[in-house]
Amino acid sequence: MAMLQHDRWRGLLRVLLAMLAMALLASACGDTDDGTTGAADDDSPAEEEPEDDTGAETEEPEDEPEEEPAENGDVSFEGETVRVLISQSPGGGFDTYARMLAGAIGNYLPGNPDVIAENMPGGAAVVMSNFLTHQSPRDGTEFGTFLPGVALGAVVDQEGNEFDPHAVNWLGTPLPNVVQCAFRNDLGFETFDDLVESGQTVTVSSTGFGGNTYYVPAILAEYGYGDFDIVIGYEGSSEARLAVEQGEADGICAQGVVDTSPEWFEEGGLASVLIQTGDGTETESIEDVPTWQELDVPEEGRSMMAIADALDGIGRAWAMPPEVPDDVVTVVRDAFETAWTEDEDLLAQAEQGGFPIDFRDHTFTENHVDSITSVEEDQLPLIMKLFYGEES
Amino acid sequence: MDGATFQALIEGLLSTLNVTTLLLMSAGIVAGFVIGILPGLGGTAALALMLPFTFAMDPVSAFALLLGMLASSTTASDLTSVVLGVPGDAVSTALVLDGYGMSKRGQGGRAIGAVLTSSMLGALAGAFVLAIAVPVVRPIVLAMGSPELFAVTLLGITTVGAVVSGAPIKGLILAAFGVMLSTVGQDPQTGVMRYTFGEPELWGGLGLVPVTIGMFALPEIFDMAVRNTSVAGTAADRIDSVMAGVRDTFRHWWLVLRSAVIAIFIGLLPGLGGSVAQWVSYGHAVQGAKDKDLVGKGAIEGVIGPGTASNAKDGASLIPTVAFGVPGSVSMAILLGAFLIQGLVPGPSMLTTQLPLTFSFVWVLIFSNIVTVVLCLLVARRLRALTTVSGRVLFAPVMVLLLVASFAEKRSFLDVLIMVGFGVLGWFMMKLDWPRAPFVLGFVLGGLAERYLFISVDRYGMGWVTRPGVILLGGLTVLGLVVPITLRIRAARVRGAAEHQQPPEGERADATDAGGPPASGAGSSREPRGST
Repeated sequence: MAMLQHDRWRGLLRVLLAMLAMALLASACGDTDDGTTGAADDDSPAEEEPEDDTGAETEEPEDEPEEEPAENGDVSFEGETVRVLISQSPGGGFDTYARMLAGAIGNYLPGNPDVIAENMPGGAAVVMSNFLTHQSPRDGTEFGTFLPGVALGAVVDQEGNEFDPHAVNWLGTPLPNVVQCAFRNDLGFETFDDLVESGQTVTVSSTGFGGNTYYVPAILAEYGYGDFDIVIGYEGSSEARLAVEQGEADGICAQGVVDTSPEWFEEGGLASVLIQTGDGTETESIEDVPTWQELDVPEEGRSMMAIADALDGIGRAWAMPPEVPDDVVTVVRDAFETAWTEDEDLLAQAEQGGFPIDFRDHTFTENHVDSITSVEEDQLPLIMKLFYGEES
Repeated sequence: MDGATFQALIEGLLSTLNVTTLLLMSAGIVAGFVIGILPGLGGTAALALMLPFTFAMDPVSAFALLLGMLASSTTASDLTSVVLGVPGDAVSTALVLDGYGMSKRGQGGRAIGAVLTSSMLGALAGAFVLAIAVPVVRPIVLAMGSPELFAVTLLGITTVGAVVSGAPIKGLILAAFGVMLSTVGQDPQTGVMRYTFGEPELWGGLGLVPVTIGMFALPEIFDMAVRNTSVAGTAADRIDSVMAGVRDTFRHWWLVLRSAVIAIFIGLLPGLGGSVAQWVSYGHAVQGAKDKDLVGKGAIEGVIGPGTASNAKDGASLIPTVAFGVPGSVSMAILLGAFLIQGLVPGPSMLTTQLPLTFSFVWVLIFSNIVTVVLCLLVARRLRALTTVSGRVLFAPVMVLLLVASFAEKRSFLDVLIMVGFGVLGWFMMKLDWPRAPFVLGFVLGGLAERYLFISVDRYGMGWVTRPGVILLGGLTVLGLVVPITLRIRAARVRGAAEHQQPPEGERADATDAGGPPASGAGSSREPRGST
């Protein structure tokens, strides 16, 4: 009996030792998590430079990378897996655009890495943007697309938001957003004026505070343009749209509704777009639908609309984490732009699927970010209320 | 089924019957099987990686590849649950209880036969019911708002908590514990952090893969290695046992049909994952188990129910994906990505003008399942042989797979620690005879339940409880709670009366529990006799 016990404990000890060894092995393999491997290595002392990498000029792998940054030609993603992070649940517009890019951008990144798309929904994109800020490797192997509201959230110290809009490396956007508010036809409203004048409480579905499904109806309601009951908590835009089809919500304010639910707007369809953001000059604006810039609102309301329009101008924004070496950023930005503007397959898929593309580079995005981050201190309480539902 | 639907069914069949489609489907089946058989990895990653290759294909070919992969990886995942007690993915956890229980009792071959056959029959029944139901699918889905979805999640949690464990109160407490842990991370409504202790890696919540494989797989492989036994222990297997499982399944055809209908109904609901379908089918199946003592330890009904559901739900969960653009699982989400890229727009047209295309997807699933089952039956004997391999031999390779699987999902070392932590918890639960299934289902469904409850209250106030669907599902939930507890109280009274009448002879040894660890609380969780 004692021998049996002894054997058992010896077995247990062996098992524990084996587990420890496995854990150490996994830990050693996990270096990419903190960015110590990957393309950024090409900017650090290169100990094992791949031979004849991309046919570009090769530099001597010497020990002074900080003094002399490597040439862009040294950046290679060969053998890497690039992760494209998507802040929304699968099935929506963000997801589709991101997956189109994931299918194309590997062709333009040196070393032609594998690219996989990964959804990371939650907290109106705060989960993913925080991940990008803190956890993504700083080597160019991860970049993501998220709701622009996280940039404003960072400005107003939104709880849980640790995104730094000036620290990340913006890549640009394939399409600046215009938010369209669609309402079920069975409500009987033919125009936005009908809705406003009816005084009827209208339920709209929303993915959460900080997103345009929330702040657009909130701003409209604040200045007397509609009595909206905003139901938040839908996991993604596809669930929020389904709520409208189910009758759980009377309408929704979201970008690209006419693209993602085209059957709603056919003859005898479910819903109609009655109002849209912007001033009507944006690519995605719909003719014959009034814009909110046309509404008569006080100056304070106009400034809120301007912030919202800047956020939506950032659109389906893409960024890389902070602290990525400059040469890697340049290479990824070039690949990003080439994919959106020149990749024939991507452009054909976008056309086939009805996904418009109006590419804007990182400078466009940075300008909008600057206008968001320069809000005045006295505007913050109103911003908190209209964008985050927090009454002061 | 009206004439137009039947015509669409035939058109869908003809569009799948061409060489290219069948070859791509075969390639998908082989790839899905190889990846699905690796514990913890599942087919989702493979689907995501394969997605770009489908961009240049026509829709039927693209979906032949992807659905072939999905079907075979689902079945292969089920097999690892049965043979090693290691769920291939989170969806297959329901099969661990009785499937692995049968393996431990030396009936691994029979369990494999049952799970493969029920899987195929489930796919066929699923497709058949779906074809009949197409005209009413859209109204059903549209009627299931957030309150009804909340009621379904509650039904799932209580079904498993109360029925599966054999100890309703204990099961419900553990289900509640699972729900509690599902709240770790960022609140989806307000963005507030909960139980994250300032650790950014927890902001997205505890990962399903590390929790599931930690809870189920680690304790079993650990226990086997320490005791230096095989899965089957000393229990002898029978030579014809695979075919015995096949025969068992046909004998339980009525259960197969009922499980398929349950899985289809839940698969149709947008936003609910496949694990709910499998668990509810499991709960239903074991309620009718002939030998209640075997529930959770190797009842054949507990294999056939979830085995049927695992593939029956796939056809159904295509519907919310293609008709509403709302995928019920990550796999379906990836399919949706392929769908959109193909220029197909999810909407009602997929159930009307595009119905032949929708049916072609269903046909691909049917063919894939048949081919996968034949493939699996060919290797069934070798798989069964795994149950006789010593735990110390299995330990290292399985541990590597578990560590890789837990690390790979988010490339997070914390997830490896979480897996080990839940492994320790699972080991204690196993030793103390605390049911692990309710905990895992509570964990899986807790987040969904919270979300749907929040929306229901926000949208309808307290009026949501008076909706007919909620009342119906709520009634089923209450029945699921009250009946097992009543039965247990009655059983306790019968036992008490018997003890008064007979002199105490000590605990009756349970000769049927071969292979499993000694269950300290097992005596109290057994029905005495004749209880239904």
